[in-house]
Amino acid sequence: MIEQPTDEQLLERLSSDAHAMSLLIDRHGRYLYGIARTLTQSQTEAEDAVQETLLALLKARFDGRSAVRTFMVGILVRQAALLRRKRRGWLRIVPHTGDRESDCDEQNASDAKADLAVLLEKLSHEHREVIVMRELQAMTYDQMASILNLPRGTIESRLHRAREQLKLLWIK
Amino acid sequence: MICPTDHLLHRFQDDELSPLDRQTVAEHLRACDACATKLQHMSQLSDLLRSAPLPLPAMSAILKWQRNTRLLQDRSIRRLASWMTAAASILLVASLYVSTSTQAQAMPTLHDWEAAVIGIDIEPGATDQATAQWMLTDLTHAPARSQP
Repeated sequence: MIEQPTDEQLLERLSSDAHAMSLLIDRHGRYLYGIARTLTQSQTEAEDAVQETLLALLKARFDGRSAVRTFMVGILVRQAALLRRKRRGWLRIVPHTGDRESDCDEQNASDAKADLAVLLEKLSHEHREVIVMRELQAMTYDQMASILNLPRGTIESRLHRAREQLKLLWIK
Repeated sequence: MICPTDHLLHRFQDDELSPLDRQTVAEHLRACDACATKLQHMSQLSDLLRSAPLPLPAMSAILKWQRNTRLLQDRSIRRLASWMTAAASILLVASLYVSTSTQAQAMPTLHDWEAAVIGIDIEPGATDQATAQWMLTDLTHAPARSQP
């Protein structure tokens, strides 16, 4: 039986091996999209955020201090925030007309409408960001602080406020 | 211990307390039903979030990611190849230059006595090239000289 390369090995080969990237996309692409979609609440923006994450991965240096998936989510969170800022600037010029929805997304929308996804949509981007990192990715406060480039104390209080807000929405 | 704040309970839930603080909160939770219930609700919400299905991408999006990353990789490899070609060219030119100048240094100079023997008016230390030039010039004029 052929032994599959680990994620770490694939990351090392990225610059010279197109197959390595293809394997990483197969393993993590769907998950990254799910996270991106939760963060951005827009299909197009989520797809773009994943694309930018994958391209950034080609230049990024993995230090091995976390799992590869956590590392990728870290890049994704930053890319999503960057895209969001760009988009906000763009929306000032061109009014937003809504996103096209694929068949796949429509099917998932019915599932996602169940409760929590809808609640998450109601949170601010900053709150959604910390909730996704902590609850979906189980990142430590230090990891989150490093990714968002914020003091640990800010992360703690932001996460606390986000949970309080989510709890209130949940009770309603 | 008085009841911990929600903030502290969240840190307990996230395993972000020091071992001592963690122990203190854990002891309190064993004794206080209200706080234990509150923590249970916090954990339930977290579990729900974790178990919620994530939206899936369209197949076309996955194919687009594959295609675009491959394009960038190909471009990077081509750029790397062109840099390596340029570096190889520079190395080649440099080694040719070094080789030529080494040969020039190794070329024997005409000794003073050699110049004296052949009776030419060449400055001491002249190269073979200068001598050859003199010989060529001299031979060109040789027939004219031999005429009586």
